[in-house]
This record gives sequence, C-alpha cells and structure tokens, in this order.
Amino acid sequence: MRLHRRDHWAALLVLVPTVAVAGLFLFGFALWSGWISLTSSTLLPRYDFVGWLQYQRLFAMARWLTAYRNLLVFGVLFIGFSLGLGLLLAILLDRKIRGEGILRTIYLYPMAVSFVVTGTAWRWILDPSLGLQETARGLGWASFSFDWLSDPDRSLYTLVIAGVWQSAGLAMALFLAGLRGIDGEIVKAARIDGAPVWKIYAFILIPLLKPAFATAGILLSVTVIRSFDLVVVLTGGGPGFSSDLPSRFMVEMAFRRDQLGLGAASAMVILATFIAVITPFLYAGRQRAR
Amino acid sequence: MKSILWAALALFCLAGTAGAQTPPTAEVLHWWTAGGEAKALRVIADRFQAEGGRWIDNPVAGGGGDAARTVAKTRLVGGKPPTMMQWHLGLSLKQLAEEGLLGDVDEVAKEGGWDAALPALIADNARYKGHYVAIPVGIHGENWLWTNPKVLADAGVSVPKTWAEFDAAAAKLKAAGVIPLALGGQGWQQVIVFNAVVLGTQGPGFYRKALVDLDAKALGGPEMVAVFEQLARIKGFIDPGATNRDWNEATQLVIKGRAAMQLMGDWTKGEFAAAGLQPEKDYGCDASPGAGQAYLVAADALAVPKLSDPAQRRGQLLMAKIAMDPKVQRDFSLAKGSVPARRDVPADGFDACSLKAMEKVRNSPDILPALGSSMGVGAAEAGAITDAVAQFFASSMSPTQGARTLRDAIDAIR
Repeated sequence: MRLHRRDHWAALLVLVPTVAVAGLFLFGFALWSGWISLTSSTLLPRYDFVGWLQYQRLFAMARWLTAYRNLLVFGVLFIGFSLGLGLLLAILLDRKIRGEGILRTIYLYPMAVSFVVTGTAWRWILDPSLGLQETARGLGWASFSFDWLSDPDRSLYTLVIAGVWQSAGLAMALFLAGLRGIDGEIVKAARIDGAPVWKIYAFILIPLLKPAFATAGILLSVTVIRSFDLVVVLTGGGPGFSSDLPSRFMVEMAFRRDQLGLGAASAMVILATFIAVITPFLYAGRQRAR
Repeated sequence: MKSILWAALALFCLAGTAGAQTPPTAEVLHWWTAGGEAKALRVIADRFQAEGGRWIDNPVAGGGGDAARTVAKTRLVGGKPPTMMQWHLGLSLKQLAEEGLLGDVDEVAKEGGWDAALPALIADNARYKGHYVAIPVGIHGENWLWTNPKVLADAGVSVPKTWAEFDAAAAKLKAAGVIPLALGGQGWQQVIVFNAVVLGTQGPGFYRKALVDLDAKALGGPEMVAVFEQLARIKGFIDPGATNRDWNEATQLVIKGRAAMQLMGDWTKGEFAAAGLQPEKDYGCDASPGAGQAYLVAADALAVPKLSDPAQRRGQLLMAKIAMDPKVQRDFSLAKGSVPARRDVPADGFDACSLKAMEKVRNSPDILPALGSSMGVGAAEAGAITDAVAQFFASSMSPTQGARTLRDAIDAIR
C-alpha cells in the first residue's frame, strides 16, 4: 500500500518532535559533555579550552583505573555467566520436564525486582556478620568463611553474583523462546541419524540460537553500563574503591566533588567503550537483515 | 483544564497590577526534607509568613543534596535563580560569588550585629570580599564519640579521653566479646575517624596545617605516619561486617549493645532519640579522644542569589532578618539537633550534648572546619583525601605507605 502524499507529510510531522527531542537530549548533550570534557570546568561549566588535560588527569587517577578495569572484568564475567547459566536453564527446561511453568516463573522472577532491592538483599546475605557465613557457623560449621564482600580483591565478584542472579532468567527466557522457535523436524532428523542429545545441542541447536545470543548480549551490555544502583547499594564501591564502576565515578566527580570537566571526560570514555562493544552486535544484526 | 488556565491568567493579571503591593516573596530551594530538618525549616517559614511574606517551598530531595545543588547551579547559570537556596558555607559559595551570581544582605547584617554574634570561622566563610553572601543558620559538629555506658561498664572501662586510652579500652571490649568501634565502611565515615585521629593525636595546629592548608610537608611527614599507625590499630577494633554499612546501622549496633562506641557527627543524636534514649543517661556523647575543646564543624546556611525582582529582594532581606533572629535560631537548632550559629542565643531547652557543643562554639579557640564542610578545602581535595583514607582501610598497606598515598592523592589533584 502506498502512502498518500498528505499521509506522508503527516507522518513526518508526527515524527518531528521525537526526532528533535532525541536529537537534542541524546546527541546534543553528548556533544556538550564532550566539549565540557575539554575545559577546566569545576563547580560550574567554564568554556575555556585546555585540550586533553582532563583525560590525562583521569588516566593518572588510581581510582579511575580501578573502576575502568572493574567495568571490563565485571562486564565479561556478568555477561558470560548470565548467558551460560541462562542457556543451561533453558536447555534443562526444554527437556519437557514437569512443572516447567512454575520453574520458568521462578527463574524469571528476579527480573521484576529492581537492582536496589537485589543489592540490598545480597548485601545482607553476603554480610559476614549477618548472612551466609554467620548462618553456616551457627549450624556448627565453625570454619566456614565467605567474606568476599569485605575482601577488596573479591568484592567485585559479589556484584557478579547478584547481577547474574538477577539477569540469568532474562537470558533463559530469550534462549527458551529461541529453542521453541526451532523447527522440530531438524531435531527429529538428527535423532534418526543417531546423533546423541548433547551433539544435537552443541552442533545444531545452539548455533541456531545466534539471534537470541545477539539480543541477550546487547540487553546485558546495557545492564552493565547502567549497573550504577547495584554498586551503590551492594558494595558502595568498597572496600575502599576496589569495586567502583565508571558510572559511579562519573556521578561522584561531576556532582559531588565539583569536578565537572573530569566527570565529563570519564563520561566520554564510558560512551566510547560502549560504542566499541555494541557496534559488532549491531553490525552482525545488519548483516543478517540483508 | 480550561478553568485552571483561566484562573492562572487571572492570577497573572492580578500579579501584574498589584505591582508595588506584592508581599516580600521567597522561593526557597533546599534539601531539608527529612523529619527534623523539615521541621526546622518550618520554623523559619512560619515566621516568614507571620510577618506577611509569601513563602514558596521548593524542596529537591535526593543524593544528600546533590540533586538540589545541581538544580540550583542550573538555575543560577540560566539566570533564573531562586530567592534563597540552601548551600554550604566556604569555597563553593565563594566560587559562586566570584562568578557574580550572588547578592548580599549587608544592610541586615550590619543592623543585626552579625560580625560580633558569629564565630569568626563561620562569619569569614559567609562573606565574600566583606559582603555577607549567605545566612548561617546552625552549626553541626563532627568529632563526637558516642558510647553505650552499660557496655562500657560491663567491660570495666570508662569513656576514653585520649587515643592511648581508646586503644586500651578497645582491647578490653574486644576481649569481652563486643565490637569496640561501630563503623560503616564508607569513605565519608572512615574519614570522620581519620579527622578525629589527626585532631586527637597531633592537635589542632597540625590539623589546620594538614587538612586546611594542605601543607605538603605535614601531609607526608612523620606526624601523618603516626596518624596512620593509630588508624591501623583502629582497623583491629572494627568488625568484618562494616563494608558499606550505613552510619545509622552502625548506631543501631551501639544502641543494641553489640558495639560499644561510634565516632560520628551530632546528627547521630536523632537515631538515639528515635530509640527513646536520653543523653548522658542511656548513651554518652563526648568529644572524640584527645580533642579536648577543639570542635570540627560544618554550617547550615542559605545563600543569597543575585536577582532583580523587588518583591524577591525584599523577601531576601526579610529572610535574613528572620533566620538570624535569636529565637528563630534557637527553635531551628532544637528541631534539627544542631546548635545556633549566633553565640548570643539563650541556652535553655537544649539537651546535655548540645550544651557541650554550645560551650565549645562560644568559648573554644579551636573551632575548625570539618573536612567535608567546604570551609577548609574544596570538594575535590576532600574527595581525594577520602579516597586515600578509604584505600588505607581497605588494604594492608603500611602506615608509611598510607601517608604517601595521601600526599600523592593531593598532588595529583593540584
């Protein structure tokens, strides 16, 4: 069906506000942040030009380097474990077990909770003087020790645990939908050829799940970038700043420590990293569409 | 919908014609939204309205004032300032003044004798080039040692007056099976302990040199190493559950008797009061070990933006008069748990802890800025010091390395 000329104009007119708002608030302000990151702004924006000074200061700060490295470690572990666990759960549920409906709901349930709630609950569970450790010791296992939350070398992994607990269900749902969408005839044909179950999954079904992997990957990467609330509630970036993440660093510098220029510089590095990570996924999606 | 539009239009016309008769108007931007704080501001607002002013309340909650400050900055820069806004005294206030964004209330200040009534530190930080650009309302103190007297008595120790006494008492408490010091492992809480140790072991003169003047020699010198040695001992007196614990959760440990002491600002009193406890009977409030009469303070204040609207300008002047009125200052501080900024406010009605604080504010020669108060160093420097202290608490670095980390953190920011 072809659009009438009038409808065409009407459609454009309706789109204008959205495009204008998105253009201003996403690209306009991103550009403005980029500009601020090249100035010496402190409490208030100041429009002088100091070149890459803020970036030099940024990468000389131990706290930023820790936060940035944490982003990469957290990102890889969180996405890896969420995908792995999600896939495993999806495959197990796909075996047509009894009570699938209930199990699926249970696994997906953490998604309904915000990161603030997840973080608070896990902070209590992992608190060595209240939670898991104390309970196990109370039951008589006196030597049991699980104090990752107060261990600066391991506190980052508590974020991974809580994050995976929350997000594995999402990956599972996507994979399960993917598995259900695969033509049953393929599996039947493989069975007739005598292929064992694990081979059917490893060489036939999982490769067919590529689109589900791409979707889950993008959604989880977004979660990594905006995991600000989880850090704030669960570890507060600590002990020290051992589990700090760039998003928290940025808010702290720009709004609490009157270092607008430095905060903007860190925001630009986060943006660049995100673009670098997300581009391959988008590119892959485009290739497939062709 | 339509009727609302008409009403708005009518109001607009009315406002236009009323002109000269508009009452003094104050749109007040603040983050005093929690129970006691909100009640305290109500004291000023009620009086303002009683004297014929029009009060427009504009609370912006969130992030411990971060959200409100961001809104305030945006409006100042955008040329649409509020009539009054909550702000910290000190460097960030002076930065706003330097940009020409603030007006003054000098005529009221002269008439009310502010110079004589305020402690020097507070007056100096409320002025820019001799002009009062902010109204100091109340003073909060940071270096308090809160104790559970029953827990102390059971372990056979008294409230420590020096850090050596603290170590001895803490060792006994630990042996008795209680947490000697309740601490939340958040940077700003750890830095309160750090400040108390700097003040208590090296004295007010060194505190000023290191944490106000940021003297490089003081920051990396042997005195600072001694400070970190004391901090290292303190690390042995806190429990492993401290990570990211909120300050009031730590206070609860003291209230329930699981911990004996806490180093925290005077806002802690609210937590004890909410549990129905009486000061100097059910809980102790004393100066941090070794501090004596020295007092680390932060101020509650309202900044005066530069604006042209005559009604709002009259609102600013009326606000200045009211907020600095001795009776208003007394009621404000009673509600908020602070002490009045003015030194000539009658002391009746205040509890035992506040009386101790008032005694210091009035007579002590060592009223010093708390690190986070913005009256000593800027937010960037305070943040760098906080990071270094938090790093020391989180790692196993030696006191010498701790002092070096601190000096490097300050060097990096300069």
